[in-house]
This record gives sequence, structure tokens and C-alpha cells, in this order.
Amino acid sequence: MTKIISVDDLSYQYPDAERPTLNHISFEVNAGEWVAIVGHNGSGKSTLVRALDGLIDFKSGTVTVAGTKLSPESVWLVREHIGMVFQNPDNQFVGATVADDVAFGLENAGVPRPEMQHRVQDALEAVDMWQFAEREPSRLSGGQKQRVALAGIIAMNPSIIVLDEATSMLDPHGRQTVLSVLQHLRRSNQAPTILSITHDLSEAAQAQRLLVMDNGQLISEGTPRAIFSDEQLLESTGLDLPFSTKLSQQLAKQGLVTPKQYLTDDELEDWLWQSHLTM
Amino acid sequence: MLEQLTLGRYIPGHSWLHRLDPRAKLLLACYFIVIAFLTTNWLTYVLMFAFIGGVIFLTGLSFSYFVRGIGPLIWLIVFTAILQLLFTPGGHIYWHWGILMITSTGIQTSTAVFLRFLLIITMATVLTLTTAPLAIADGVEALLRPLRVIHFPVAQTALMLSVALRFVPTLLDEAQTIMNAQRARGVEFNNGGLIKRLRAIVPLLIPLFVGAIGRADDLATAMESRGYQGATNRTRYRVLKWHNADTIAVVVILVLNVVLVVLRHM
Repeated sequence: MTKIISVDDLSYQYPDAERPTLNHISFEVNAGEWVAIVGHNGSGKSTLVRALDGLIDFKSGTVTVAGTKLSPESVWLVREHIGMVFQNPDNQFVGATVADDVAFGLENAGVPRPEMQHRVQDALEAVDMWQFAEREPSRLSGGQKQRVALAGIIAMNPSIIVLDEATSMLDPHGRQTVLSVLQHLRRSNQAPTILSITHDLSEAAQAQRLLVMDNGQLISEGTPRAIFSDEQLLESTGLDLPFSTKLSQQLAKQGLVTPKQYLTDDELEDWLWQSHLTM
Repeated sequence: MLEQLTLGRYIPGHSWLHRLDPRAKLLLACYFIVIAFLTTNWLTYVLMFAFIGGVIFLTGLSFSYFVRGIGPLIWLIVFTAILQLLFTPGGHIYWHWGILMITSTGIQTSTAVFLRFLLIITMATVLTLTTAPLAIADGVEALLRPLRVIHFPVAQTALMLSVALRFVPTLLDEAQTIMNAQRARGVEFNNGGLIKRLRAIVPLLIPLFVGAIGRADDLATAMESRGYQGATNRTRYRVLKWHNADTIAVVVILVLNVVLVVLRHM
């Protein structure tokens, strides 16, 4: 496994803050991995991913992305590897129309126009928004805008996609379509590394690894299964429990005790379906 | 309230005029306004109104759009024309009272003012009705390009213009939301005297302003993360194309100019 992101002893304090927002953080991400960062508001998740893209000026620690150490000189090189989708779909829409917005990054990279045209079309088709290419952002729904933001990233074909709570302002349907676009992207032959910040546990459950942050520190990391079965950890960090765990707890109150470890929705369904016979 | 404004609104369409290059349309509209001042006798007015009638026909839009576009301004035009009528001395005096008088010259100039205004506003309405704001921004940018010689930041201005246009509906929505939210808290926007109304604007203006700063911050971060390093070395996705139709339009307006000059001396 090649390491695509490695963060070593990263600390950062906002100029007027009392405590550091990031406190000696170290972690690594493998190429092609899907990692979710979870933690309650103010735990430093957004600051952490902004540091990766060189959007904040941290003083201590090192960040290395795709073999390049982040420095004021290399920042644009690093940004070429990372595509970021932010939380508010309205505020990150630069272009006057959908196609213009997708082309924005390509224009910045100096891509010649004929190539730009087919890359814009391909990217918009990948998120199923090509028929809206000439629309203005004010005539799109939040989910559609976020798909356009994703298309803008796909067109650039970065090796890393960072989602900074990209689904948090969407309705369940919009969230589902954005996630399925990501799932589809993961199955393509050049599957990007995905780093997603989320409060949505069903989204976190799709990741291969979770990083749990609290008070600017990385307090735990592991597979979703390992993290979700650690109820104490979830409770102490103020994170919600996944639906299947809540259901298991309710069942336990009724006297039906599931196996101790965390089960996904499908696994719980299987278990219930088999256990009925033995009751 | 703002949706009812026809002046400056764009109506999507596929007419010959809709498809003209925005550069051509901007230049020709300005040129038309200049030659509107060449009108002196009734022949020239007939020609100009016939021309603008033809242009309206070419837009393929209902005449009522133009009537509604001019509607809010008609009082201003009438007011100006009346002032011209009452304060212009010269020629035969039909009526006078103190400094007010109606003279033959006054009737002539006020009619001229009224008709020229009508021509100019109709042409401006044609421009905005048939050209998307974005296309106008592109056209303005292309026409400003020569100013690069004097180090005018054309690309930056164009980007600001396009971002500003893109955020107009977003900010209007936000203003509406804030207004409703403040109404729900008991702020009355349409009641009371001047001072009271101005005070009621504050709970709308400040959140709108703070929101806009937040948006600008987010947008700048998003632009930077997508590799925007300034206006240099960028390629362009949208390009303007000059077609034969644009050349024809230019020729037509030049012919109009020549005919006007001829008619003016008849």
C-alpha cells in the first residue's frame, strides 16, 4: 500500500483562539482508501482538512501529499492532487452556469478549450447533470448544486477527494445521490482516495476507516465496525449511535440480546431473520 | 416585488436577435442611441420608429413586454418633456404666465425629447430582453479588452462582474428569507413614517451584509482550492463567436445612419 497522505505532529491555533484547534495530530492515508473523519462540532475536523490543502498556515508539523511536502512554494502543486467539496452548495458555486462552474478549475489549470469541452461533458454525465449544463445555480436544488461541485472536482481528476461535510445541508435524497456518485467513482479504474468529514453515521459506515477527533486531538481510529462497537467512545465524544446499534439496544431491553459486536443493517437483518426460528 | 421589474430582465428565446453576438448588440445599441440624436424632422422620426418596430418584431417577443418595460419610466419622460415645453423661449408664443410659456420652439424640442427618450429606452429594453446577463458581462469584458494597454485589470473586473451577477438571485432569496424571519419577530417593513421605515431596514441590512461577507470568505476558499491563482494564464471555456449575422446587423445600422443623414436635410 502506498501512502498518499501523511500528517506528522500537526498543530495549529487560530490567532485569537484560547486553545489549539489541532493538537499534535499524526495519521496516514493509503492510496485509494476511503477514510471518514468524525467528531462533534468544533473538534477541528474542518481545520484539519483545510491544512491538507494549504488553506490554513500551520506553523508546526508536516503534511505530505502524494510525495510532496506541503510548503508555501509547493502549495499549488499539492492542490492539484486534492479536490475539495465544501459544505454550503451555494457559496462554492463560482460559475454563472453549471457548465461554467465545472470548467472553472480547468480554466485555472490552463486546459485548452476543445479538451475542456469534453471533460466538462464527461464530468457532468458522471454525476447525471449534463442536461442541466446551461442552467443557472439559482434554478438548481441543493443536491444538484453539490453534484455540480463534485463534477467540478471529477473534471480535474484529482487523486484525492476531500468532502468537508459536503452532504450536511442536503435532504436525504440529495445526500443519497451524492453518495452513490462517490460509490460509483470508487468502482472506476482510477479510484480516488476519499477523505470525508461527516456527521452522518450511515455515510461514515461506508468508509473503510474512521478517524475520531475530539478537542483538536485524534482520539481513536479503526474500522467502522471497531469504532461503532465501542459505545463508550461514541458516548464520550458525543457521537450518535448507528441505527442498527440503537435497534439492538431496544431489542436488548425487550430481552432479545444480539451478539455484542456492532452489526450493519444487513447483518442485523440476517441475524433477526435466523434468530426467529430459534426463539 | 423585484420579479415584476421588466426593465433589465432577460427573456430566454431563440430569435435572430437573441443569437446575435453580445459584443455586436452592445455596440449597436450604443450606436443607435447616438444616432437617435440625428433625428430632426418628421421623416427621420418615421424612419427611426419604423426601424425600432422592425427590431421589436425581430425579437419575437410580445409587444406587452416593451410596454411594461417603458411603463415605469414614462412619468420621467413626460415630466422632462413638460419642463422643456414650459421653459423654452423662442418662436411664436402661444401662451404665457410669468416665466412659464408655450412657444413653437418649446413644442418642437419637447416632442423631440419625448420621442428620442422613447427610442433610446426601447432599444435598451431590446438589449436587456434578448441578452442574458452573462452574455452582457462577456460582451463588456470583450469590449473592455483594449484597456489592458493602460493596465486596467480587465480579467479581474470580468470575474467580479460574473460572480456578482451569479449571486444576485442568491442574495435576493436570502434578503427575502431574512425579511420573513424578521417579520416573524415583529419587524414591520411597510409601516410608519420615513424614520421608522429606515430603522426597520437595519435588521435586514446587517444580517445580509454579514451573510455576504461569510459567503465571500467561503467562495474565496473554494476558488483557491480549485487552483485559482489570479487572472493570469487561464484558458476560457466560453468564447464569443462573430457570425455573418453580426456583420449584417452592423451594415444595417450603418445604412440607417446614412439614410438618416440624408433625410435630415430634406
